[in-house]
Amino acid sequence: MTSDAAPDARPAGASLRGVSFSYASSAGTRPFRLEVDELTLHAGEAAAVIGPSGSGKTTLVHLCAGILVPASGEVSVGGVLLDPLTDAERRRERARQVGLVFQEFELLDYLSALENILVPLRVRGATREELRAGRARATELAEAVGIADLLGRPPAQLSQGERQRVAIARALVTEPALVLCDEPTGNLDPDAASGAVDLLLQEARARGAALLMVTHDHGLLDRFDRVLDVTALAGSGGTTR
Amino acid sequence: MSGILFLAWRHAAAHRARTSILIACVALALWVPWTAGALAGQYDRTLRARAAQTPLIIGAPGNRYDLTLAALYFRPSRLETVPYQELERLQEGGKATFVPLHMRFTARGNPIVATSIEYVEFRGLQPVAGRHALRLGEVALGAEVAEALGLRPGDALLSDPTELYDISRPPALKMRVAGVYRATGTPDDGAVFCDVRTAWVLEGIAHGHAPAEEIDESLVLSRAEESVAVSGALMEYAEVTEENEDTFHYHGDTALLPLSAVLAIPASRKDGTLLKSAVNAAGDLQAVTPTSVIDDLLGVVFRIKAFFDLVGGFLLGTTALLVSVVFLLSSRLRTAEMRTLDRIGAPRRVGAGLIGLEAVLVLLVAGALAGGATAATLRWLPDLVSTF
Repeated sequence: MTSDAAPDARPAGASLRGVSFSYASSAGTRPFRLEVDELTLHAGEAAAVIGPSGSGKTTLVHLCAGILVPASGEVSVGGVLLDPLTDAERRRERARQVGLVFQEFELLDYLSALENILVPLRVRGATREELRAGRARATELAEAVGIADLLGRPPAQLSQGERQRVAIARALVTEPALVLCDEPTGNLDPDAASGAVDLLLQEARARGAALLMVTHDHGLLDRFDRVLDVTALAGSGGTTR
Repeated sequence: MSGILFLAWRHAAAHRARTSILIACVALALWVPWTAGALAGQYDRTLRARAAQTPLIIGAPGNRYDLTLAALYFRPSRLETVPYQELERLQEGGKATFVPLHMRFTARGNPIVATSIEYVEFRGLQPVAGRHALRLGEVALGAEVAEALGLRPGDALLSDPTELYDISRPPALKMRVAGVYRATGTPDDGAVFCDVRTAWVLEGIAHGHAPAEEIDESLVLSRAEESVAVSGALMEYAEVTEENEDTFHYHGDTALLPLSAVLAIPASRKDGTLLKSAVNAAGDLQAVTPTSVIDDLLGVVFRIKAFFDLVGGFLLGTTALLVSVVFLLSSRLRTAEMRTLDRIGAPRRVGAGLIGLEAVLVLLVAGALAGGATAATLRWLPDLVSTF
């Protein structure tokens, strides 16, 4: 089963094929199970993931990122098949190919905004040249998301909206093939949430990254190319629009 | 790895107060045993080296530690004196070269070591300026004394009065600096050397004043054929000069003039053994081998050091446990951060790496501080050997 109605010539940002993932729940409840027959996100494409709490939205994000490994099926990001990779290789691939934006932003409080943006490069052991290039990209991204004059400040001296922008820049600094967002607007007021989603979509599209965003805010869904219902990923591909 | 090191460094730097306290605790816990160990080692080397260079010390019966430390390190002590005639009697035996030592006075806090030219030759003291103190009232300074007091040949140095309010005691003697010795790194650097006759002037046994025939008659109490009794008001010379040197003289039996100790430099090991046996058998003097006395002394010192080592070990162990607790609690507080890094794609054990590297940074800085503090302590601490 596919998530796309028509073939797309663009390169795949991420694709899941015949994926099955499950884990045992607490005693007395049914085991959790997520199945995805086929899901492809093309470069520059943006998809929203919806579904009730506990339905597997975050699990889907973690499978796409290679944080979780499916019991069966194939997951590829940026054309790289993750399943045969070792844990260390998957981590390196994640740091290189995947940008992540979390609900709590999860910035490191002891780093400045600029240093936070560069964390994905630091953790993957970037060379001095890569860091220099990354710093230039970080400055460019900071200007694009409107925090150029805040780069020296630690997160404690930033507003919620500013932190969100730092988190967005951090997700994009490695020029990833796939940007994964797990309810990134959950802690923002409606105006800020709308602005953050617009910014994410704009920057991801501008950089040709596929974007998958988990959200409960149905008011934002019309901005996405596709909306996926996680409860219906098996069988129909889950595309609701 | 460099990225994780950067994060560890930034975390440590961002939490300056916590990091500083940790570094201070570890540095203190390292400094105590390191300094104690280094001092004990230095103490051991210094004491043994000086003792090994000195074959035999002869002195009045009494505490052999006091005798040895006084003769080797000029440590202030109240040794019973040896009459000069004993030195002459030893010299008659001819088994060794005997060097007199008199160390009962100080000059501006530095020990005045009254001896003979044989001592200077035996210790290999070389004047870096001027010459040896050969004449009455002259001194030659150890390198540290000369530097500390800023004295050069031709300058004067006053002896310290021993009894400030006892007018029967001789006043301070103004001594001429004849020379300054090259630094040797031994207690000789901190001493003021003079001839034994100068020490007897300091003792008041020898003195100089106007010739009897020139003394003001109002100060003469009685005149006999061979002696003149004068009033205590007659001023004695407080300085030996070329003009008045000939007026200095002894009263009483010169054979009884006091010495603190005698260094014996036997021609052979056998002569040394025979001399030591003979002196100790006679009983009116004692002869000690410095190395055996220092061995006994260090035995006590190192038993005390073993105790301090144990205390230092406990201190270090306790500090290590407390630092571990701090890092353990820190790792709990940083769980969310570690989860974020894990999800971003950091290596699997990034948490342990971050905490471990931060601990290593703390240990390195603390170790460097403790090393510096230990070096500074060894550099600036007063010489423990001389103050023992």
